[in-house]
Amino acid sequence: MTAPTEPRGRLLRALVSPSPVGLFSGFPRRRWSQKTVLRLSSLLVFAVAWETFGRLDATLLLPPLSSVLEAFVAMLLDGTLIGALAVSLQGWAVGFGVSAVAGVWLGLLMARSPLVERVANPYLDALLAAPTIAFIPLFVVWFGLGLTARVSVIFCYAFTLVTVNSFAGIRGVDAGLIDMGRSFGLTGGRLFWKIVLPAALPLIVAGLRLGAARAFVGMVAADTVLVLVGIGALIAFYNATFRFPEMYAAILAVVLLAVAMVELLAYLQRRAFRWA
Amino acid sequence: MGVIVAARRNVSVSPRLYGPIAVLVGLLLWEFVGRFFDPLLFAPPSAVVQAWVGLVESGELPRAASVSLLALAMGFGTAIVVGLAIGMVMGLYQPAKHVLDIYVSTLMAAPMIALLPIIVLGFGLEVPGRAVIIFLFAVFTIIVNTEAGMSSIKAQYLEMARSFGLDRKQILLEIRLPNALPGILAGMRVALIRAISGMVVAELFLALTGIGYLLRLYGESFKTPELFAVIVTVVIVAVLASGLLNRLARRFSQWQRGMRWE
Repeated sequence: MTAPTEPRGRLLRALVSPSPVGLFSGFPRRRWSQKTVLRLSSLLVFAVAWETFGRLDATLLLPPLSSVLEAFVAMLLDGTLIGALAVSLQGWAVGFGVSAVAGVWLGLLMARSPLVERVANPYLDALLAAPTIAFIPLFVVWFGLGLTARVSVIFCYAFTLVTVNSFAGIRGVDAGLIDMGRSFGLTGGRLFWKIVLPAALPLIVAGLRLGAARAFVGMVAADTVLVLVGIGALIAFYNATFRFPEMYAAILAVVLLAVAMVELLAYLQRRAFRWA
Repeated sequence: MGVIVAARRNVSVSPRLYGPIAVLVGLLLWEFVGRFFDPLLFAPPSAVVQAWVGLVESGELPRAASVSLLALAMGFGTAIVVGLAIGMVMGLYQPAKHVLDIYVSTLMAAPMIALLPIIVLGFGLEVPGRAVIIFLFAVFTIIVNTEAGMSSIKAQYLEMARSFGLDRKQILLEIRLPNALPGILAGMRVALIRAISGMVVAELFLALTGIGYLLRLYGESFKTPELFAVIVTVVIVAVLASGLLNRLARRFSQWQRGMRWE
């Protein structure tokens, strides 16, 4: 039996322990798995190689990692990065929001009506296969260079994925579930809200997750190719003024944000649908 | 009401025709809107077809396409070779997977367009630079799908192969590769679309040649019939190519169909 006064947390126990090496001996000795070791050493080798080549490079095209990180921290602290990303993410939020609502709605219509499904399918197939970026000049002609054009590019990037997944989710609901709901007297709207939607939700959310990531790619495309604003403008500015550490730092911010978003959404989805 | 029902019975449209009919109705609607409302913004299909014929006859579109396709072939071809090699190594050797995984998944999630300035700094705007852009747009999708196909094999297949006395090379060629092939081909379909995107981006944003230059030229001069003609060409090529890869993927996955519910 342990004494009832002993703190429960490992860290706390280590801190209050009288032993001088308590902080470290309090943890169980865990052997790092081969996986962790390989991953960390791979990152370390990459960082050292970048730093070395950066220092050796006489043309200054590849700044050493340390100066990139320095620029990154400076830009984070003085608000340059956050300001630029805020402008970009505005377009992302509107574009993705609209495509989420429209995509789920169209997916639902397609699942309920074979006519809508057959009419929409050839267009969705073409849009899924088409490189969205080729439409950008057309959006400039149609909507100019403002927020509308950016939002419509982002919309197009995300819309088809959301639609196809929510259609598949709703169509794939187990017929037995629906029969059961019917036999309990559910019809129409209540059948949909109580049975169909919960059963279809994992795939719908998976579609939204993919759509959010695609919308992020569309956001960068719009802010770089369509019109230089936000983070796209920031990268282009540092590129044109040959401030390469800052340029790499801005690119790093985009990459980190994209990865963070993908990981976070995947994590949330796993948490939310552990039952599925 | 009665008339509608009667009409429905007489004109029985096979459900398979709904798709083509939907496209036809869409085209007619577009023609109508283009002719009577806004020919500048919605160039009607008839004008687009005319513009397309003009672009082909003047040699402008074929020339631009050959410039674009050269870079596409180089970039995508290299991406296939490198992507298959890296994907197979990652799928077969766990250590290699742990070392490379973080870069592959990062660059898979990262918007490649943000990296364009770095590629241009390193490789320039000519064919090598454009091929590298196309390569980077496509290669990670191929790696991920090859790796998944290689490592997602059922243990029973491997046990069976061993009990029949197959050696490592035979297991790779006769068990693992056929198992991975449908996934690899599906990945290549997505990779090809991404490669075409990379091609257009490189030309539209950086180099101003080929198809991308035509898009920019006709967009900025508001020649919408020509603009539509170029976009439709890109879309049709992409749809045909992805349909072809889809069919290939289905053909090579036929043997799996019977055992899906084991």
